[in-house]
Amino acid sequence: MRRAVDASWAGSATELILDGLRQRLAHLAAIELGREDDEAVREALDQHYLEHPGARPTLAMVAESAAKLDRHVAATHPDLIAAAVTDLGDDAFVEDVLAWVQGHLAARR
Amino acid sequence: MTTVVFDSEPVAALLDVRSSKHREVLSYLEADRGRRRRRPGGATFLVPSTVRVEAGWDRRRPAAALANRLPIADHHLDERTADIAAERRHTHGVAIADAHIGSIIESMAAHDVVVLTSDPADIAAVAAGLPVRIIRV
Repeated sequence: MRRAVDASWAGSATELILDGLRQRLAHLAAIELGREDDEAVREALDQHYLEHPGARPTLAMVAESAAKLDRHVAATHPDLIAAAVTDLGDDAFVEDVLAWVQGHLAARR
Repeated sequence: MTTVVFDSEPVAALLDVRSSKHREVLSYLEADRGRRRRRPGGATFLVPSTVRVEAGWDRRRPAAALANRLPIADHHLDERTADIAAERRHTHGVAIADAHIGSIIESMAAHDVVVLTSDPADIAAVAAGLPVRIIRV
């Protein structure tokens, strides 16, 4: 810290500490705001599904869309995504479905 | 960083719970929710303001309540993007909304741009060889 002050990067050690604290607080605030936004979106979607149960996308649909957005190899194998969902169950995580497909394709080679 | 741009029909499907494509459009937003859980950040969803006009997304209407609560930001034409859109419309003879999408593709050429559309041929034409991923909905 003294070197930073000697090199005129900061006026004092206190200034350096306060800058560090400010940056840390700004980072934490950004994380918290992002979390609040995520929660608001989740709440909006869940309320929509409550009012319109048929509007909820299936796990296979979400997995296929995730694969397309991520350029995942499963994107061109909706049949395998369906097989993965049958094998893993409707409450599986999307990433597990995609990993199942990837593993299946690797085993074929 | 992935930017997902909505074309008119996906927007219309999002607004109408009776649409056969409603669930499919929501699945992209759900997929992004999952990605955000796994790693920081996620896709940015954009709706060109001209697409909103074409698809009838009036944010003041009760029917837009769900769409308004989703993280889909309006993209407005500015001086530069309006010039690009005008040039694309003139060159390719496409709808104003498609020309607007073309201007987004060009102005964000350094990004990973994905367009959700029911008409991949029109978007491919307006992209004119620029890097874009087109997903048919």
